[in-house]
Amino acid sequence: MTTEQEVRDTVQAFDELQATIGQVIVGNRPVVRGALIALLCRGNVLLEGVPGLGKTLLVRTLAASVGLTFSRIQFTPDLMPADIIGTDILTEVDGNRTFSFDRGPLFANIVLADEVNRATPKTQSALLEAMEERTVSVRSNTYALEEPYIVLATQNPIEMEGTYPLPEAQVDRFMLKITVPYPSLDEVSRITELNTEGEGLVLPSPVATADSILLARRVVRDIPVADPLREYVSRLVMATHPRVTDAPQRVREYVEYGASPRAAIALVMAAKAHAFLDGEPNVRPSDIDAMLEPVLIHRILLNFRGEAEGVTVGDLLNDIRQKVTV
Amino acid sequence: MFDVERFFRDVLRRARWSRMLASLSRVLAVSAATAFVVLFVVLLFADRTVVPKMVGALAAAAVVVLTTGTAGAAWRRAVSPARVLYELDDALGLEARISSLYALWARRRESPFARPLQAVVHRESESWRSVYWLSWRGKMRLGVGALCLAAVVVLPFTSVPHVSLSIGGDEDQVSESVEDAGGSDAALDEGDVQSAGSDDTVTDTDGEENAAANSLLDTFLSRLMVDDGAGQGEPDASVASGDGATSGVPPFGDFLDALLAEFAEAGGRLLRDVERDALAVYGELSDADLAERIAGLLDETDVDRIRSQLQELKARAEETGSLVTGEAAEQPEASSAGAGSTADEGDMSTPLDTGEGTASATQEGTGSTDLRVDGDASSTVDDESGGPEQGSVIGEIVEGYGDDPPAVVEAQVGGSIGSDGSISEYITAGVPVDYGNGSAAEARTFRVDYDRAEAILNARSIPQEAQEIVREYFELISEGDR
Repeated sequence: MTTEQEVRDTVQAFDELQATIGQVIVGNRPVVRGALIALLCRGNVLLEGVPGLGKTLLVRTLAASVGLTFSRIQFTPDLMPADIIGTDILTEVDGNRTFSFDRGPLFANIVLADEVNRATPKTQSALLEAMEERTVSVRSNTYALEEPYIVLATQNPIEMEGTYPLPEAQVDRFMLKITVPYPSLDEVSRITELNTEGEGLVLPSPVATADSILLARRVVRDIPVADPLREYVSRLVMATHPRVTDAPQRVREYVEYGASPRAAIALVMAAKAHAFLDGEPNVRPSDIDAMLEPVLIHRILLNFRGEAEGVTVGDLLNDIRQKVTV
Repeated sequence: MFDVERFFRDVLRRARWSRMLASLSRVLAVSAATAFVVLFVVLLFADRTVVPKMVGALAAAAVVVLTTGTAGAAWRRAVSPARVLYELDDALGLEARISSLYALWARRRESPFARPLQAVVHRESESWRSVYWLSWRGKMRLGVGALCLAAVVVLPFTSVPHVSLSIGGDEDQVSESVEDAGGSDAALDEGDVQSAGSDDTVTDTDGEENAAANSLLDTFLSRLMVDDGAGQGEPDASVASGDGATSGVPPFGDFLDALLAEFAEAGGRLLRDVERDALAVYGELSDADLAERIAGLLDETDVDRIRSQLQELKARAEETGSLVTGEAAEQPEASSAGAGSTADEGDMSTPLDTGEGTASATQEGTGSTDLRVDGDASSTVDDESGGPEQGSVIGEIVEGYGDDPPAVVEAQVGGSIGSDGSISEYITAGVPVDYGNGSAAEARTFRVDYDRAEAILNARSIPQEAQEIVREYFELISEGDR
């Protein structure tokens, strides 16, 4: 169990971390918070947005702020699993030839998988195993990834030619899906100012450590959730299923598959982390509502009719939020 | 020191109490208001004499039992502490802090967030009791329920206006009479109740209102019949004598309309006795054809044929324009003045088949069933026959007609008619036979109603010989017009 002092310290540390990242990343506060929440919950994030919106910068800034190792992998169709997880190479030491494992870019605390949908499913699967199991298997050897570990994968919503969209089962392994929006006019002006004057953009110094992040993870797990709110989360997730009678009408009409119990776990954890970042001692209904869309939006699969009629999952989640109450 | 356990216990008890009060107020308001409305309607339309005064107290007791039972069930129903505490959170705007603290406390889990939560709950929930005060709606419901409950108890002792509704032969006609219940009681005490085919009809002194309160058919029947004191209606003497003006006999056509309307409403039925009697009266006052049709109708036992015959009767009556009593009702001076004046003056009392009128008429006649008129009174006959003897006996009651006393008198007339010499003259009720002054005018009026006399002759059990004499008489006085 964590102590009250540790709670206070971690809360303070993360306040400082948010402020530090905010000095580099203009706007995009929900994206920054999403990344921190995934970090606190031992989750992974799928970022979706057009190129040039600062996704890579966000990840690099986050890594620099917490003093963690960072690697970036640009996914391409010819990228092989060994390219990202590493491979055994034959080495000669003192006249003896042995295989030694050469670690790939997945062996970092923070991994940015850029345009993950451009890689083949085989490579994607290698990444997803690392995301879920926090291990990498090469031949008969399994290598643990160092905690804290987080993968932030990006997808480009345009130029879908020659891509390999992630299967639903693999998408489910991302705790959050965050859409990176266009910055506002003022934010663009601020971005150009930061990047074109003086020494240019400078990554911040670390304000947190890996240990403080691991401690914060324990603190987050200690945050209490009232039973009615747990029930609320369950009903929200159940309402995404088209064959549940309590589901909204449009869900019953346009949804092929709803969210899994893993989504309910993710929603509770995300709500806890959200409350933690706000310095609250308990999960509030507003925490759940705030995390509803990032947690569920990529876990609901529309049917053909829904796709044809241009229904969005965001609309359905609004229906669910209106119908299901605490 | 904030005692979390005691706080939770207090909140749960207060929540249960509040739930019980809310349930009680709802059930009380609904049940008491329902009881009040039902009782009010019952008192409004039912006979007050059959509604016991204690019915209000009994209804109130039932409401109280229902309310307390429901409240007890609400008290005993299990509550979900987490849900109750979350609702308190919601009411106080504490964003699930109390229920989160309860989650920690219930699991007996050590948590770094327990003390901060306790501090927040202790600080923010000082006014938590106000959440469980009865809402203004609950107070309104309680107030309304209590008022209705009191009204239910008191209502039977108050003067609720009594409304009686009835739909007559004309379906569009709905008449309503409202009278004070106390007044109704007084009327009952005074025996000012007129049986008009509906025993439960309470009337005041205004005969018109009473008539309006009954069905049209019953009204007709009540005007045609009089109660013999045993509840069995019999033909009104004045009607039997054709005295439409004094009895207010309704038009035959309207009577048939009302009767047909009731048949249509009932989907067909046999004639009631009172209706048969009324039809018999109309038959006596109608022409031969209608009288024959009515007589056939009275013998009919098939429902469909009764209805068809009624319709035929109505058509026939309209066709001939001989809606007899309607004429009598509309022209009281023309057709009924004779009988009325005769009865009033006592000159020519005719023995009738029912009531006190029969006895008095007989006694007032001669005391020995003979009737005397002045010689001048037979001037018409005198003109035709050469003059009767003055002061001679002109009539006496014909005996031997069984239980149904005939409305016929036999009069010995002095003098002769043609070569027949002295004759015995038979007179039926309703026929103007005033031999005094003005008899010529009566006779002219009577000649117009020759068909009616013919119908009466046919309808009544009058011996054939007597009928012939009457017909001859009419032919004589009509001077061959017919």
